[in-house]
Amino acid sequence: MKKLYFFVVACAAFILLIAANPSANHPYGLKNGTPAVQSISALAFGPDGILFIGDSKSATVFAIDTKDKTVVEKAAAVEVKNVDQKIAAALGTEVKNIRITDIAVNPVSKKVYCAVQTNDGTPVLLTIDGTKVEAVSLKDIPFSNISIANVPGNDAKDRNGRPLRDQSISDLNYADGSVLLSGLSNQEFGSSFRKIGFPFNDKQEQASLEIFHAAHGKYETNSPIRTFTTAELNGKKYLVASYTCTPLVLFPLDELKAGKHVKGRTVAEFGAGNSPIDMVTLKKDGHSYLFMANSNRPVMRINYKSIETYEGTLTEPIKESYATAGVNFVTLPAVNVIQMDKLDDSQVLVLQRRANGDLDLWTASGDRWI
Amino acid sequence: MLTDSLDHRKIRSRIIWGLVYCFLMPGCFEKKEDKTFSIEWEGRQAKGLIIPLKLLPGISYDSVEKQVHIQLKNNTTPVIGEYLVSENDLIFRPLIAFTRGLKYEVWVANSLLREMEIPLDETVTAPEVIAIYPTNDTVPLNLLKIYIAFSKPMQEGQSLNNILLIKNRQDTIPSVFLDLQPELWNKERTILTLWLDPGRIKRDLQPNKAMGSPLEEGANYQILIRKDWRDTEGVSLAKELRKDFRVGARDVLSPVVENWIIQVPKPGSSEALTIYLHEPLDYILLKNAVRIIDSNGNVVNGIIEPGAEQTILHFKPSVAWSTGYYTAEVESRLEDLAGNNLNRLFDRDISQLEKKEQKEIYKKAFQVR
Repeated sequence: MKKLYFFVVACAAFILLIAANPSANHPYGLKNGTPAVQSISALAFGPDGILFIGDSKSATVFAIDTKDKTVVEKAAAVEVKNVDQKIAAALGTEVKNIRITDIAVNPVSKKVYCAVQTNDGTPVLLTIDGTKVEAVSLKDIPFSNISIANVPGNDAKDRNGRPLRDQSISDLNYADGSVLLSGLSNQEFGSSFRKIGFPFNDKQEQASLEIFHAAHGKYETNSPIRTFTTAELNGKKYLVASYTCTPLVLFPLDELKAGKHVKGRTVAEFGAGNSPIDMVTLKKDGHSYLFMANSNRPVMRINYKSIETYEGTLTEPIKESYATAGVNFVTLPAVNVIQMDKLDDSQVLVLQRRANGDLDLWTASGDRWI
Repeated sequence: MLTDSLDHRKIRSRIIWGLVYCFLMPGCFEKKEDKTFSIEWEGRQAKGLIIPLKLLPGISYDSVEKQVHIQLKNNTTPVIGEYLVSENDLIFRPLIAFTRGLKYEVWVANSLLREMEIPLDETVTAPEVIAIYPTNDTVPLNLLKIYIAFSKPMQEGQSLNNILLIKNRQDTIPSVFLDLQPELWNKERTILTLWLDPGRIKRDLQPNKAMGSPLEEGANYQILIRKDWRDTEGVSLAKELRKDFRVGARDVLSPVVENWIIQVPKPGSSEALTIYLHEPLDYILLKNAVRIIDSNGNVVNGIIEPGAEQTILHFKPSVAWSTGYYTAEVESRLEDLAGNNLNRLFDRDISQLEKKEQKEIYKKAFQVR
């Protein structure tokens, strides 16, 4: 009888413990609450409908559970003309008062998420379904967050009151259980690249990256990564990064460790006077292709096979103005593409400023682009 | 269905009476009408709309959002927001504040109940440019960045449309500043960091070879900040601003903390400590990367303020100086105007081995006696 009594008490205590700990119900260590998102610079989806929000203003990465987990294999093509006008109307304001800072497609549901910053500084997270614009509520949702305000590992050395560093997030991705993030300081000239394990814990790794910018290798370029993705090349995982004036550089992912100085291998120069904006990978007939949107050049298509077979590194200066070098690429008939994301395995979601000034969200099919 | 249509009829008749109330009564009882339909303000922002329930007869409180919606005038898209029902009112809070100067419509069951305008704020003051750093009249050829400080938080994404660099009062220089999205603002959105294109500053890089250095030695320049630049409240700058500067020689030396001269106040005084830096350094980094530490290793509280065109640093302690040993600690990230920090030059020869010792913190000791 006594044993039974203890058993019942133990069960009750266990149930109480579970009930008292809301995070026990959430995988990835998320807890219910309202994330204090102050700005949305970058969006990226992780596993199971988890959305990562890069917040430059609060120097924080948030992970929120969108609970958007209905599996959709093949996405319906998205076509929204004048998407900025539709968003502005749904927000009750004018186009001149909003900026679309990023778009991301949930790889599970294929739903389109869109980050908007209003001129008064209010960040807004929306979904675009057909032509319907809806708000994603951030109130009382499962979330977790991690600060990127300090250099990882340096906290112990920091004395009381040292001001937190402002950190602008230029791109954010999730790969193999980690959030990867490129940032730029608004004080010293320095870029950072971080690998943050997810679920978030106290561990963050920051490596310093160095590239040869197809100059003669004599002068260092400590330029910030503008956009990046990850890819498996010849059986090894790489960070594929691009910078202003458009070098394409590979860094082995396993070398990106805390405090390590990693030299990248520059495999292409896609031309000066240009900044890369976004990268997307699509597959067709067993081949993978990298698509890169640019500020002053059309969208480029690069066959990963060309990158795999390019064993050298560009260390010679490019003598001809705006000329290119390294792996081959094809320019697509798509200019002024401001954002891109993978809609599904065979389609790319494109946010493009048309020649007449319209801002359209549309879908490029892999069949057309490859 | 029958119940629905009856309800609709009921709602319609009540709405008609509501409309009669709304549009006929104001002539007689204007003040009362003003009190009945109001805007919820938070600071200067119109955060909500309060609609008395008596203007919404027959509304089912369970599904208000299906019966009432707010839209911009001449637009059919409902504004996203939340509806709250209080004892006497329906409160609509849009996802973002209503925009001043715009007209909105309140629709109930497909009928226009009311049009309203969010008034422009006549009392609001225009933002101003407080300073452009470096404040110097002469900058090095390889100047890396400028900061623009504003009196109020500014709209983002507008910088390159609103800043011009004019050479010798004639030519506007294109592509001088690095186009960064997101722009580099401080948390308060009052200080913007603008990089001169680093690819053009570093010698022998392709952009440098193709377009040359952004600045030319011996030339005179003017930064023009357009009046059109708006703050987060949508108010443009009080006036256009111009700042002249001349370009001097390339700066190819890192700052050396060891050479700084510290003028130490007497014990018991609360006077500022003065550090002579011998050259202009980065204003924001001077404020953030230098600290005074006492002999116990504690940070001495006080205010750091660069002076004399960022060639000296004043540190005014919160309490009077005590006798003892102190240290000025400087993070290696402190830069001069050309981006040369305490550890390395911005434009360095990486084929040469670094001979200089790399440190995170540089120290300069002094004694108060």
